[in-house]
Amino acid sequence: MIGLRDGPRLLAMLAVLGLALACLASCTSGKHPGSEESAAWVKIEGATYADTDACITCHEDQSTHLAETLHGKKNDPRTPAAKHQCQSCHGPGSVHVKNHEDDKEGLNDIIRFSAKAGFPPAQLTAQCLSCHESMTKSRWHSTLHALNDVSCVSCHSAHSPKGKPQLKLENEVETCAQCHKDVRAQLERPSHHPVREGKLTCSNCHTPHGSGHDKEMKKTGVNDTCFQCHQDKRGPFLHEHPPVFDNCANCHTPHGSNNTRLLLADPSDLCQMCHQGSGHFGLYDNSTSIEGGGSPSGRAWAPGTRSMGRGCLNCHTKIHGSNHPSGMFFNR
Amino acid sequence: MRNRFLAILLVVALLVPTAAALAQDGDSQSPPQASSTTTTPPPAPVKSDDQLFDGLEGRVKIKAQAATNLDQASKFLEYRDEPIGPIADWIEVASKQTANDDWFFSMEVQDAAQKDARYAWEFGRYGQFKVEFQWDRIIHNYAFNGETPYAGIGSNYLTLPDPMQSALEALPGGIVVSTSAPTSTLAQSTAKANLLRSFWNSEDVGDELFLQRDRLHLRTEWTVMDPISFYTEFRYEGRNGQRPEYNRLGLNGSNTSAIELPVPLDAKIWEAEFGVKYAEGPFDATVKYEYSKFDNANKKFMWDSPIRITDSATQGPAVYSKSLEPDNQMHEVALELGYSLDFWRTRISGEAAAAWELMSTDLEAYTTNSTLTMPAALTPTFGSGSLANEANLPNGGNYNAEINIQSYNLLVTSHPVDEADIRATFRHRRQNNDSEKLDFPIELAYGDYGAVTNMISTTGGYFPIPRYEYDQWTAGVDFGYRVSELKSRFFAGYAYNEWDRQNLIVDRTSEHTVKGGVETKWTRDLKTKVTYMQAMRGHSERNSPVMANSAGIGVPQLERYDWSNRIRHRPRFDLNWQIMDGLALSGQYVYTYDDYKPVFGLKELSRHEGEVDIEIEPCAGVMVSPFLGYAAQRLLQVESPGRQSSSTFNYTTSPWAYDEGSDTYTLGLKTRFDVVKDRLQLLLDYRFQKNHTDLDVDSDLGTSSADDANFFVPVDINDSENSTRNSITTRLQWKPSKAATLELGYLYDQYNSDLWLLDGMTPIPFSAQGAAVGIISMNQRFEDAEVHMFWLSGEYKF
Repeated sequence: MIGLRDGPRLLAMLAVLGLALACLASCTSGKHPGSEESAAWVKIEGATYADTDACITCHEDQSTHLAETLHGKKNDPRTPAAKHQCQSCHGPGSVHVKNHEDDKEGLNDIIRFSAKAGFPPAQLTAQCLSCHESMTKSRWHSTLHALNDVSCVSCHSAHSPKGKPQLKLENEVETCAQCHKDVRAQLERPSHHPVREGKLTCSNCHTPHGSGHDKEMKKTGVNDTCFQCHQDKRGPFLHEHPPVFDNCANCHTPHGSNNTRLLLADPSDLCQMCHQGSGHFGLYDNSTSIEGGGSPSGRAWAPGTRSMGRGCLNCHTKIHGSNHPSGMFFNR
Repeated sequence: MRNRFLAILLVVALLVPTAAALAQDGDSQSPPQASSTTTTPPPAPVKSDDQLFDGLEGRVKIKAQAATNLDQASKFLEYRDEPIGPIADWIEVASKQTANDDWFFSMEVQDAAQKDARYAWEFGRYGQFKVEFQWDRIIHNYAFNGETPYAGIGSNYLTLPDPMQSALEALPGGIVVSTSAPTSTLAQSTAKANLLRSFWNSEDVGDELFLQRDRLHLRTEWTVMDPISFYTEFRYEGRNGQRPEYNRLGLNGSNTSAIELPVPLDAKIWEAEFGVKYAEGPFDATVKYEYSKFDNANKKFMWDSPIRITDSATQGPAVYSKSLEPDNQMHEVALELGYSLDFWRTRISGEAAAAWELMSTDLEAYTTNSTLTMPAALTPTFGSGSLANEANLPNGGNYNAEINIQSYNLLVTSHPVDEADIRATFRHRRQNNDSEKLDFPIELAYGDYGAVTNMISTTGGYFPIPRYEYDQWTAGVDFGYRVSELKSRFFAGYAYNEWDRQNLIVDRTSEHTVKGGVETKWTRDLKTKVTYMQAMRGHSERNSPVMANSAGIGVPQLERYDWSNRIRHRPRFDLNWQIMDGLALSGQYVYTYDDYKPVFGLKELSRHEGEVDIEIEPCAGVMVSPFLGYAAQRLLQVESPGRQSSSTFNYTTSPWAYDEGSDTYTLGLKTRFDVVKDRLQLLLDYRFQKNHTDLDVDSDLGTSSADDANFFVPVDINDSENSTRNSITTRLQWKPSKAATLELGYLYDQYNSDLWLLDGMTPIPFSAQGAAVGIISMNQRFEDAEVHMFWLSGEYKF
């Protein structure tokens, strides 16, 4: 009987079969969303390609800027400059030129990429994907970005990029923070990855064009993503700590924290979330304040030894896993 | 300083060919003259046949800076280097971007010869190949001016001076310990604490505690066989430094002594990745292989106890040891496929990947104390002989571990009509554990010698090491529908997650997530988005065999899992509003509330995160942008009297609650004022940040004598800690020409940090160590700091 646990094999087989059939089908199909023909669903009624010089007559600045970008490389047959130039992206311009001559220019007589023009983001994206469909962009359609009306021009600028690669704003963090302001607020916290310092950026962990993984992470899981830089925590270890094995985010909050080492809570309090009463008493069993300083009546224990410093980690230092034969409790 | 002068020389050296290129280009330096009647684009420079590039362009920024108080500002310098004197701040040279060039080249040097320097180089031919090289150094300064009497910093064996150990032995009660009584303790006393503190006070590390990562990255891409392309990546990282970490000291036998020591970091990481991509028409595929190897030069760390073994022949110190991270390797192969169908504009993509994580190493011996031998009761299982001998470990001390990971994902996106979209997701990840099934005695715990035997002898058996495994499943579907009449897009989704675990107390966790929302574009200038998500998570099954093996430990913890069923509520609001010309407002607010149902442990976890940005341009040349960022978290844990029992694991006779709140808000103001258009500009950035954390532990302690005698009930605590940061950056920029910019800058950065909020270092003030007798820190923390920095920089674009 096939159960849920057999699902992946079954689905993987189906997926492979489906893709194989799709490959066969592609031999008989000339059109697909990534082809230039498919981009025609943003077609301007009655428009044809105009003389390329016509654009430059009014839009010289844009033309000059474009020539300084990859899109402007005439020698590369893949670029818009080597095809219909401006109209490779903005669509056939004859109607636009005619309207201009008749002094009745309309917003929808040519494909415009500014937000104010109101073209559906998916249509604008289709224009870009007519060339950029392949390679790393192949998963774009499946991202929540695509479904939430984020288009290529939400982040990139063809004419006047301020950052690399072709970013509309100066860097990735500023670009992503246009929408992910909650994350930027977390990045401001005292314990943080060196994102503010420019040594890491969003795309070190996430793939904005789509990875197929949860949260568009670069790797298949949270841990694998963390192990890109923290290989020392990868193990495997002789003694493993289940929550570490399960998910780094059980204890760490990667975008920023008020606690040391990007921890979800103060170290000893964090451990108590699972280990309360596991033989070491309550957290503040023997301290009167965080700094220590005296013991309460009726208690003989020294203050603060399990709550100060790194709390439980004062002794359980190898909390990510131990390779010591006596490291069962991660203190060696 | 010498290095930075070399960097300046490098800048000059780079300027020479640049100047040559300028001379070669001649007239092309003049900006294109716009003409209202021009009907053709400005002519692109045409290179001759013997030139690879049309010329060079780039920029060079040289800076001279001075600063005060940097030696105390460890938080300010946490991830960066700010040397005093001349700095080659930025050098960028690239082939000129013109329409007709085939080849490209670029080089970037950032913070040359500084501790956080970055060098990048890129070369290639459009549409054929690209080579990228990058060398980047990331530093993490934990803190400055640490104190420890240990010698051998940077090595994996730290030693204490004999006089200190003699002085300890001379104190009243400063008993000597013997191998014949390894569990004896050195009772704690104020005299001993004071003596230790004086030793710590009189010493200095003489070096900062830091982590330095030198990262090299080399990537090539080849597209010469279009539609097939290849890429290769090679990555290397050298990791050095000393990380502060607590370890056992052995001042008493109550498991409460800890000492902060600089643990050496000396590791190398080698990684390689190869991939082949095929992309033609609607179909694309990628096959890739990745290899990663972590080599740790120090697999063991040892340190002296302040107590010497006085009845042995050598009278040497008791030596503690522990394992450090072992060498490991990882292999991964992955296949990605994607296909586009005309039918409903459907896209199917999927990935299948397999990875192997390997570790094979010789384990460290149980102890450094050669007088300890395996108890007779355990000999049949674990052999006999000295516990300081690695060969007497099970399997001769060699251990092989292997984790196998398989993952699949399948994504289908479709648009049945232009207004609608559907996305279906399926993911599975399986993590097998094929490690050797070796068992070891439960624990050979630390004591005054670095080892005691009592736990072995009383246990008389061993604790089986479980090999954890799990499956994680995700299946979900999202719908979206655009209603043009309402200028809105409505969306909804459902996802099911399941974790099936083996050899863990909780066998199965399942989660149902529903979400929905609407995005409305009210006008061209006003857009809002409202989203709500709810996730219901439950732990439904126990793993009985694991429980049986965890008697005394596992069962009570199990209750925590049983009762950690959770409901998460997550509303979110987004706003983008161009209120009028010159005034824009954007913001986002996300609230996350996790409601648990525990008998003990985590009960509530809530978070508020958001930011509001305002952009004001009252007139040409003036821009003011205030912003407010806010991130807060509250965590509530509870204990219930229902868990009281007469066993070792009795907990409380009265309820108590532990409440931790932390928040960070950042208030900023960015301004730009064009004093003289295109010539003189004044920029002012102000940022105030406050981090606040508070604890509130409430209990009924004191209401009954039973509570007073019960260690499991905490005392009431109400404490809060704050840290603040004020930062002002003022820059006056003068542009004598289009190519040149001179900048005069001033930065004021003030950190006011209370004891424990900031990352990287222990929060214990040294003055408190007399009271916190069980802990000795290196007296390092992020000090209050006030930095004044001035600079004069010149930037030249060519």
